[in-house]
This record gives sequence, C-alpha cells and structure tokens, in this order.
Amino acid sequence: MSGRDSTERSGAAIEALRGPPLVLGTPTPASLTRSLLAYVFGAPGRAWWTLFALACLGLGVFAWALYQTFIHGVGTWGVNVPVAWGFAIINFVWWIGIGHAGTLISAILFLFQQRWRTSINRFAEAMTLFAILQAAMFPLLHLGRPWLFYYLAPYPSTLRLWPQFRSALPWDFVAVSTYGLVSLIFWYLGLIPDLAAARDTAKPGFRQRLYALFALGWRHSARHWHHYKTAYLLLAGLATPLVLSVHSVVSFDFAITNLPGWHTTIFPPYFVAGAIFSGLAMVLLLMVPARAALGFEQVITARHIDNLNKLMLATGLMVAYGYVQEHFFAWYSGNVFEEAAYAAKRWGPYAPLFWGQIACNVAIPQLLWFERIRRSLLATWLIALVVVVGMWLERFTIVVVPLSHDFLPSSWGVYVPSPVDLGLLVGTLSLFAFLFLLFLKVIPPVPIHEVKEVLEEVSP
Amino acid sequence: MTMDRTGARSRDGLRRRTVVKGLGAAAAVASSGACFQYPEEEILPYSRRPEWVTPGLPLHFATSLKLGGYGLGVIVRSNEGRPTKVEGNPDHPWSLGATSAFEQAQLYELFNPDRLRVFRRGRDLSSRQEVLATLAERASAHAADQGRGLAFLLEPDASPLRAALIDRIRARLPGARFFVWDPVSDVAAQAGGRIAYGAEVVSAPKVADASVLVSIGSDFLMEGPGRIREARALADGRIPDRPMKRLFVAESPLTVTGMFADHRLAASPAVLERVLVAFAHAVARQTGDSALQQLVAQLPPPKIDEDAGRWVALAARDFAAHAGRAVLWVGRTLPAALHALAHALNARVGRAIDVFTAPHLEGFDTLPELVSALRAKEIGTLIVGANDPVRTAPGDLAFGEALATVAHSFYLALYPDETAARCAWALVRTHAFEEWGDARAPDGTISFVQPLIRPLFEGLPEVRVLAAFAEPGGEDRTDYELLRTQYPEPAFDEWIRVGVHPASPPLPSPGPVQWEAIAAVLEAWRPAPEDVLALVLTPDTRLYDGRFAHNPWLQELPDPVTRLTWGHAACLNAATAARLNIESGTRIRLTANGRSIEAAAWIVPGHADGAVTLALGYGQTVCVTPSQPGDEGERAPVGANAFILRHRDGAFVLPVTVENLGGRVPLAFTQQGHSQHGRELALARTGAQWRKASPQPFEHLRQPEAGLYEPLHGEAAEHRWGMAIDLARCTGCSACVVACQAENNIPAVGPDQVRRGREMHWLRIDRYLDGDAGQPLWVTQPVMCVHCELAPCEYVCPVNATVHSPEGLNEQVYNRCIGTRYCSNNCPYKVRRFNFYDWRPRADPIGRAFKNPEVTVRSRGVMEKCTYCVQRIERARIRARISGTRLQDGDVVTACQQVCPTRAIVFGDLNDPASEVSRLHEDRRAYELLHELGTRPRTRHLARVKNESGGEG
Repeated sequence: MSGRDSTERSGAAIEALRGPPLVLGTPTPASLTRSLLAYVFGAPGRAWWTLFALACLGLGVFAWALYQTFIHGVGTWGVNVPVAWGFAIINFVWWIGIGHAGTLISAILFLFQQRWRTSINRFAEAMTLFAILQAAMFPLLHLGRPWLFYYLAPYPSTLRLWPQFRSALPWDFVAVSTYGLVSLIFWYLGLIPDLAAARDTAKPGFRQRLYALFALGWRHSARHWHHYKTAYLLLAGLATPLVLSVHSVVSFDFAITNLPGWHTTIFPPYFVAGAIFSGLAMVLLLMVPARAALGFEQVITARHIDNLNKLMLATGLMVAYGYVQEHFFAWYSGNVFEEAAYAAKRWGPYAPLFWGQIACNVAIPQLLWFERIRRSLLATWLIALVVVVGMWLERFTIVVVPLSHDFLPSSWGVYVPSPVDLGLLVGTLSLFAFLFLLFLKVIPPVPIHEVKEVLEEVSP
Repeated sequence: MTMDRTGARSRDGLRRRTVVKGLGAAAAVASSGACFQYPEEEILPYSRRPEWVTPGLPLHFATSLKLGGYGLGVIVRSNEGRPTKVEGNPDHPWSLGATSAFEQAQLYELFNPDRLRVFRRGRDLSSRQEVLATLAERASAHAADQGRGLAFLLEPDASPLRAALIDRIRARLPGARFFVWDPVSDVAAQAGGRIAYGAEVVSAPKVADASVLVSIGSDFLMEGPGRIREARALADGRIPDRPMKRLFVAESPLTVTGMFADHRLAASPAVLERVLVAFAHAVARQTGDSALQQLVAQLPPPKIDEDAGRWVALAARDFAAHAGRAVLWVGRTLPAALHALAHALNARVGRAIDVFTAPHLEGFDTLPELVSALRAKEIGTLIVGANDPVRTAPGDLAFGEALATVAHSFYLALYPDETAARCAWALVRTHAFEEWGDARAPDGTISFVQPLIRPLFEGLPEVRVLAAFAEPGGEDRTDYELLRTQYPEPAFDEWIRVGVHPASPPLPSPGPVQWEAIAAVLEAWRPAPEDVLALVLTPDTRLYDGRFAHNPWLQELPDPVTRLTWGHAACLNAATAARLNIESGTRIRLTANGRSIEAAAWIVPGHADGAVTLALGYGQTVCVTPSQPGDEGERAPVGANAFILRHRDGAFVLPVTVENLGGRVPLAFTQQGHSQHGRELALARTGAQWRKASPQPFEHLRQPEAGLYEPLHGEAAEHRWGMAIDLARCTGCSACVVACQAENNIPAVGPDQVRRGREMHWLRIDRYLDGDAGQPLWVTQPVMCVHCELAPCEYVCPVNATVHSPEGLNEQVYNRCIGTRYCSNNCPYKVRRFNFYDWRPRADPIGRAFKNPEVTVRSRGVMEKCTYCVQRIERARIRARISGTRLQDGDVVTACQQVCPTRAIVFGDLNDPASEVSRLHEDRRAYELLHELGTRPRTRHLARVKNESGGEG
C-alpha cells in the first residue's frame, strides 16, 4: 500500500496467484442468469429422455430387489456366516463416501475462501444429498427385521430400553441422519436466491408458483442478503466437522470390532480421505458430461477441473498411504491373525479385486501429476470412473475379506453376491441418476448469485 | 371443503350424511382388518387331565431303539403327549445314558412329514381293516398247504418276542421260509464266526478291561451295537497323566476311530489283509504260543512296506505284551478266513472280549436265496419287513424284478420308497415310538419298547403282521397283548418303567475256538491282488444304510471326517487322485461289476493309497427344503445308490475303474481345509511331548489378559456356569450336534443353504490335522458359544439384544434382535447363527410336533446361538426351589453333555470348587480358545494327548 509500484507488483503477483479466470468471457449479470437457467427452462432433449428412461428401468429392477428383500428376507442376498455383511454395507459405505464431496466443496472450501468452488458447489451438494439418500437405505434394508428399525433410535420407549451406545450402529444412525439433515438445509439455504431468480424469470404457471413457494419470499433486499450471508457462514461452520465425523463414525463400525483387518486405528482418517477421494471422482464423473450438455463451459472452466483433479490426487495419495500403513502394520505387528487377514487380501480368493483396487486407486490416479491429463476432459472423466470403481472395490475388500478369513480356519467361507444384491446396487445407481436428472431440469444446477459475485471480481 | 354439490352448507361445516358415511367406512375397515388377523377358532381348556400329566411338566418314558438287530435303551421326554427328545437310558448297559446321532434323529423320524401315511394296494388306497383281513386270509390259505409258498424277508433282530413269533409260525406253517437282509451287516465277520466257533456268534469286546486295542479296518467307535459302550470305556481310559489305553488302527478310509488312534496306518484293503497276517505272525512269534504258531504257519509271511511293518511291529508287541488285556477288531473289508484268524488271536492272546451265540436268525444275507426262490416261482406270499430291499439289494440280484413275480407281496413301509412301489401291498409301519416290543443287546440284555404316542397314521407293528401267521385270529392281537404273552410276569410294569429287564437270561457261549476249521480255511485263503484300485463301500455315518435319507437332521449333519452334508463323495487320497487326474469335487464315474454310478471325488488326507471309499445309503430322492416339506417343497436325488455296484457275494470291496467325467458336482460342506495355520486352536500333544511339558504348559492360554475394564467374574452370583470340553475324549461322533438340534428346535436348511454357508447348528465339530506327516494328529473340537465373560458380541449389538446374565450366560433376546448381524461379525468363534429365511416348518401340524416347548422357535431375521441349554438350567432351578434344596453339581445337564458317549462335555457351576467342571477348568490340559483376545470364555477346552508307543520298537 506504500506506493504505486508496489501496488502494481502486488497486483501482478495476486493476478499470478489467482490463476486463470473462473468465468470465461464478459457476461452481464442478466445474460448469466439467462444462460444458467436456459437448460432448466428448456424442454428435455433426447439424451435426457434416454437417460431418464434407463433410470426408470433401473428403478424397476430396484423394486424387484426390494420386494425380494422385504418379502423373503435377507436370505435372498449372498450374505452368510462368516460373511454376515455384504453388498448392503459395501454400498452403504461407498455411497456415504461419495456424499462427502458436496459438503467439502460447499463448506470447507467456502471457509477457506476458495472462490473457484462457486460454480460447482450446487452440483456437488445435490450429488451429496442423493448419495446420502442411497446410503441411508442400506442399513435399514440390511436388517433381518427391517420393520423394527426404530429400535436403533434413542426414543423413550415403554420398554425403558435405550439403544446400546457402545455399539457403533446407533452412532451411525445419528451421524448419517445429522449429516443428511445439515446437508439438506445447507443446500436449500444456498438455493433460495436462485429459486427467487428462477421465480422472477420463469413463465407464469405452476412452475413459477412452485419456485415462489420455495423461494420463501426472497426479494434480494440488502437485509436478506445480510442475514443470508451470516446464516450461510454459520452453517458452513456447522457442516465442516461433519465432513470429518461422518465417515469416521462409519469407520468405527469396523474399527471397534476385534476382527483382524477391521480392528485398525488408522481407519477413521483413512475412511475420510477415501470418502472425499471417491466423492470428488463422482463430482467429476457427473460434471464433465453435464458441463458439455448444459453448455456451462463459460462458468465451469478447465481451471475448475484442474483444481478438482489436484484435490483428487491429494486425497488419493492419502488413501494410498492408508493402504501402505495397513499392510505394514499387519506385518509389523507379528500378529498371526492380522498377517493372515492381509495376506488373504493380497493372495486369497478375492485377490483380483484387491489388485484391481490398487490399480484403480493408487496406480492410475498418478497420471494426475501431469497437467495435460488434469486438463483433458476425457482423461479426467475416465480416471474419475476408475476411482469410483476402485473405491467400491476397496469397500468390498474391507468388508468381505476379513470376515471370510478370521480366527478359526474351520469357519472360513466365501461370499458370492446374489442377483438381488446386484439389483440393489443397480437400483440405487438408477435412483441416484433419476434424482439427478430431475434436479438438472428443476433447479439451477449452478449457483447463479455466487457466480455473479465472482463476476464482480473479474470485471468490477 | 364442506361445499357440496347442491351448494348447501351445514352450519358447523359437516353434514350428517358425511358423518354416517365416514363412520360406516371406518367400521368396515376395522372389522375386515380384524377378520384377517384372527380367524375364529375355538380353544378348549385342559379340563380332564390324564393321570400324571401336569401341563408344562414333561414326562419321561423308557423304550428301546434298534439298529443292526440290537437294541439300545433310551429315555424319551414327552411334553403333553408329544415325544420331544431322546436320551440314552443310563440303566441300559449298552447306552449308559448316551446315544449316537441315529437315536437322536429318531424323533424327527417319528414326525417326518414324508412318512407313508396310508395303506396302499398297488396304486389304490387301502385301509388297515382291509390289510388285516387280507393277511388273515393269506394266513388261512397257507395253513392249508403247511406254509409252502409263504416267505418272510426280515431284518436281523435279536428281539425275543419276534423270535418266539417266528418259532410259532414255523410250528404252525413248517413250509414257511424266513430270509434275512441287512445290507450293511458285516457278512464276513458272521462267516468268520461260523468258521471259528461253528455257530452264529456275536462279539462283545470288553474295552474297559483292555489296555491295547487294535483295529484292522473296523470303525468300531461309529459302527456296531457297541459303538457307545466301547467309546465310553475307551475314553475313560484316555485320561493323560494316568495309565492310558493305546489304540492302533489300520484302515483304508479315514474314520472316526482312525482319527482317534495313537498309531494309524492307512492301507488299501489288500494291504490290510497282509497287515493282519503279518500281525498274526508277529504275535505268534512274540507270545511263543504253539497253537497260534501252527495256525499262522499256514500263511507265508507277507511282504509289506516299511510303514506297515513298523505299525505291525508296534501293535503286535503291545498286543502280545498285554495278553489278556488286549482286543482286536477286524473290519468288513477283510475276508471271512481272516475274521476267523482274528477270533483265534482274540481267544488265545487278547482275551478282553466276550463271544456269545448270536440270539437271532441265522445269517444276515440270505437275500440271494430268496431271489432264487422267487425266480423259481416258489413264493406265493411274501412279507417284507426289511427296510427297502429293492434299493439296497446288490445290483446283480435284480431283486425288484424278482419281486414282481409274487402275487401277494406285503411291505411294511415307513416311507413310500422303491420297495413300497413294487409290492402289491404297502402297509403303514409303526415307528419304534408307536409300538410295543422288546429288544436284545449283544450280551443278551433285554430292553423293552413302549410307545410314546398312538400310531400317527394307524400303522401296524411288525410283530402284529407276524402274529397274523402265527395263530388263527392273530392279526387281531395287539402288540401289547403279544408282548404280555411273552412277559406274563406281574413285575412287567416295573420293568417297563426302567426299560431294561432286571435279569436277562445270559446268551450261551459258543464253546472253544475250532483250530482245525480255521487252519483249513486259512490254507485255502489267498490274498487279494494288490495292484487293483479298490472301491471300499461303507455304511454311512449319517444315513446308515439309507434308512435315514428322509431325515434332514442326519442329512445335514456334517460327516465327522469329510464335513460333507446332504450327500456323499468318493474319498481318496491326493496321490491316487493325482494318478487319476481328478480333484475334490470332480464328477467321476465308478464302474464295478459291470455297473456304474456317478459321484463326486473328494480328497481326504489320511486315506489309503490305491483305494476309493464311497458311503452306501444314498441315491434317494428326498425333500431338500426341510422348512417346506410336502408338496410345496423341492425334491431332489441326494448322491448315488452304491448298492447297485455290489455283488451277491456280499463283499464290501470291489475292483473299480474310475473315469473323470469332467465338470464339478456342487457339494455342501461345512469346513474347508484341515490346517490350523499355526494357530493354537485345537491343541493336541503326543505322549512324548506331554511327558516333557512343563507342569502348567497352557498357563499362557489361561491367565487373564490385562484390560481396561473390570472383568465380570460372577463370584458374587449364586452360580457361575461354565463348561469343559475334553478333546482327549471327543471322538467326533457328532451325536451332540443332533442332540443340540433336537433340544433347541434348530432347523435344518437344506443343501442349497449349506452351500451358501447358512447351516444353523449351534454346536459344530471342527476337525483339524495337526502335527507333521510322520506323526499326524487329528483333532476334533466341538465348538459352540463359549459364553465369554467379556463378550465381543455384546458391545456391538446396537439394540441390547445380546446381554449377559449375572450367572455368566451370554443371552440372546430374540424379541429385541433386529438382525444387524454385527454380533456374528464380531464373534471370533463364529458360533452365531442367523435366520436368513423363515425356517419355521410350513408343513402340517405333525411336522412341528417334535418341537421342544421350552425353547422359542425363532423367526426370520433373528440371530441365535448356544444358550448353555438355559431352559434346562431353569428347569433344574425350579425343581430345586420347589424341593427347597440348592442346585447340586450334576443337576443341570446340557443336551450335548447328556448325549455324549464319551462324556467329553461337562457343564456345571464354577463357583462350586468341588464340581467336575471346576476341576476340569484347573486341569493341566485346560486352555481357553483364542485366549489372547481377552474374551475370557466360560468354556475351556482340554488338549488331546496321545499315548503313542515309545517308538523304541
């Protein structure tokens, strides 16, 4: 601030630090609103209908799988003794992990004032919500007697019986429901100004009235903005610890047991890193095609993709560190059960899945060290796909392998998923896609008001 | 909302019509719902109570069950008139309070939904009256011709009542002919007895008096009428740190007896013959007995390999050194001549054996004679009392076709089997729990059969069918009348109460061994060729000769050796398999005597080289969905009928060719692999290791682990329940598994579910091969919930469904369980079992009647496991409280403990320092399974210790 030179120098330095622009071109606020809402208001195209029809087909499979599960019981699944947990828990952990990216991007990056998050946070949060929804179904489906699921909740029952708080499952119940609720509120709060914008630009009719209802009478007044900003900041503060806590709690499901391969102190941070890793991959997996289809190249730039890829690489390295530690400690402990459990991962009947996991989560993401790869849409999309699959494989090897190979060799057994198991996985993927497609056509997928804030900075 | 079509609006917003409509709809909904929930049924109070019966209190009745012709005394629990559990009769000297798995499963047999329920004439329905009338008519027709053309095909049965009836038939109808068929009886042993003693004999080894036991090809711990008595006596002499009996076994398949042996030799049947001859030579040489030396001089010393030679040297040395306190068993694969030789060895040297004149019909295998008679059209009326001879007859007899030549064939059928389909009449046969009768043990002990329930399907007992021919009007004599005619003594009621005749007339001795006769057959005897792949056929450890094929408890019981359920497999060792280029599970074709069957191959370590073993009794189409018997369920063939490979000569060893058909047979087994992977799980020590061991060798597996939490000791509670399982006593016979299943209403789930790893047994028997190749140590280890004091299952249950009782039971609260299965994952012993489906039987009420009313029948989605038989603890507690006494050691007996032939399982109060279980917990050999996890199990296992020969020989 001392002189003109230093101001210029610092300006240039800031410019250099800031990197490439977050919004391409020089759109006006009005044109930005129009372009970002165009897809929402536009009639669904052929691609949308095709995907939607596929999703509905998958929902049919889901309905069949749910019928089998509820009417005949979890016997229709592949689970057995010793492997009493299977696809349901794998899918639960996987979906919950995917649900981490949204809150990370919207809350943590917000607190760190990462402005590049603005164009993608709505997208990521929606994905989070839908993923949590999928995840939350599994622990209930998975119960032997799902109609008694409320025994898990601490409610004042006439039996004067509380859940067993030493077990990780009631914590799960609380952690996941809290996370889901906070994510929903956070998402909805950020949505209000855009719903108002949609209300103001939509053609009169049912849809406009719907927007009006959910915009809660937002009039863009300074007072509104003042309260909004405060609430958003507070919620971001509230949501931030949840990003770390939810998957930590989920990891306790495994870590508090005595099972070799589960009983590991590294699980909480390792699960959180894995969760964010898979969540970022899922964001990229959805965003790369959506960006092209929706014509959002202007606001979701190569720099966004690059940043997400860097984050993915970083969390991927943490996950890789977790793998190394796990296997190292199994060996270093000298515990025959631990060593056998990890040897079973490496060389047992599920070894192809384990090495697939290593290839997907450790080896292939190393390509992201190269900027060209990070900025290539196709490469990014493929790597994201590989990571999503790899993280599912990781959940599989974590849940199934230690159970199948525990203390008494007489009880060792293998787990093979059943068609109903696959139906539930396909079903939740379809429900996720179904909700996501509806989201694209109903809600502004990019937060218009936040992009405008960035626009202010670009061209004041 | 209150605007109606006319625009009129009532003052308060609701119109009268709307209210009435709503009420009507609500009432309709409410009442229809009630209809669906509770169909109207009348219930009636128990107003006229039978004498002795107190609702809720079980009664116990003594009766007998027969297998292979001999009776075993049992006591059956009856709840409100329903038999619910079989126990051994402690007053019966061949039961001693224990049973084998077969007797346990008889409960299911009685209520089996697959039983024949109606009398049939050809394909038409008939009735009991019509059948009795026809039998009377046949009897009078044959009375005219002195019984010519009348034949009976019966099972061997030592029953005095039946013998008396047969005598009367013979007196009245001298032309009547009696044939005997027992497809798995040891024909060679019978023939050998005839050679050695010139009479039908039965041997009763006196294991209690013996120090050295040698078995060449005999699985005497699982087969034969002495399987319980001998196992008990052997186990009682297997307590380390005391003088121990020594067991030598040479055998072709790996058997329960072989796994229990101190010195085991695996040898093909042909080598076994040579081993026996070499053994006889060695014994003769070492005893210097001239008669024996003269006898074996008939036989040139055979060539045997080094392993066999060592085994023979050790066994013969001990056998000779313990003359008078040794006994030799010889198995069914050896020829009659060598059985005769064994009789000579036992009579001259071993002497720890009683030999009696057999108390039943001559011969066990006169079926070929019957077939000749049938083919010669000599038989006009045939009464079949033997179990399914069409299926069990050797293939070359074509008995089924021969049967078609008889105009009047009557078959007493428990199941609608192949014989029932081929006989003119199928008669509903009573189960042993539905009839009166008597039975005899090999030493002559008479026990009684009394019914537990009125015949469920109006069945006829065999004695009544025989009576129809014994006297005019005999078909109207009830089995009770017949029995009272046999035992008119006034004390009969008291005998029935006890179940055992207080002074059974002893069986006569057959006299001395006839040396010349033995020498003559030995001279003629030639050893079997060694270079032929031999098929060894054995009775099944679960289905026996196939009569239990419809019993899901036995079908699902894992074979003690192979761990296979719902099927059998052709067992062979790895070297033979490699030569034949097959592996475990490969589909193979076995061809013998020109006939072939398909089976799965199964590699068993410890099986003899150059031989394949297949269990008999399979090949029947049975219900494979036990929770859905009847029409809803699925029926499928289980295994293949190996009887068709047999020849009419009765041999159990056949030259066989094996062909690899490619592909795999899906087998249902409960344990893969044999290794403990270097873990200290089922501990076994050789005698040498044990003698060198420190005073407390397993202290490191018993000391409490350091922990943050105050351990629950339970000393403050009135009782501290605990269990001890002695692996030195456990033979792996698996009776406990079925006993647990019967006592605790444990469902069988069928082969498909076993393949998926969902068997429900609360108690399983793990089987490991420990030690090195030179000294292989097989260990069988019963594992059920060990009731950890710091139970890992409890802290992970989210809903408090598994909790600890003050007395130390780890309790499962079915009502509270929602089925997260978290407890199973955290159970290091993997003893928890989950109801993946609704396993409650969906059949008619008969299919549910055997359920124990004191144990909850679990529904779908609930976890379950061993409760230490909490219902028995509570029953004992109530009894003690009523009588004002304190529970004594031995008042609470768990189901597995009660049935165990070798008393390997002991349950009791650890707070009572004098209790048996407390004593065993402090034994040198006691250790805690997976001790390092700090779970503090209340069940301790005691290591198996062998008593092998010093090796200096």
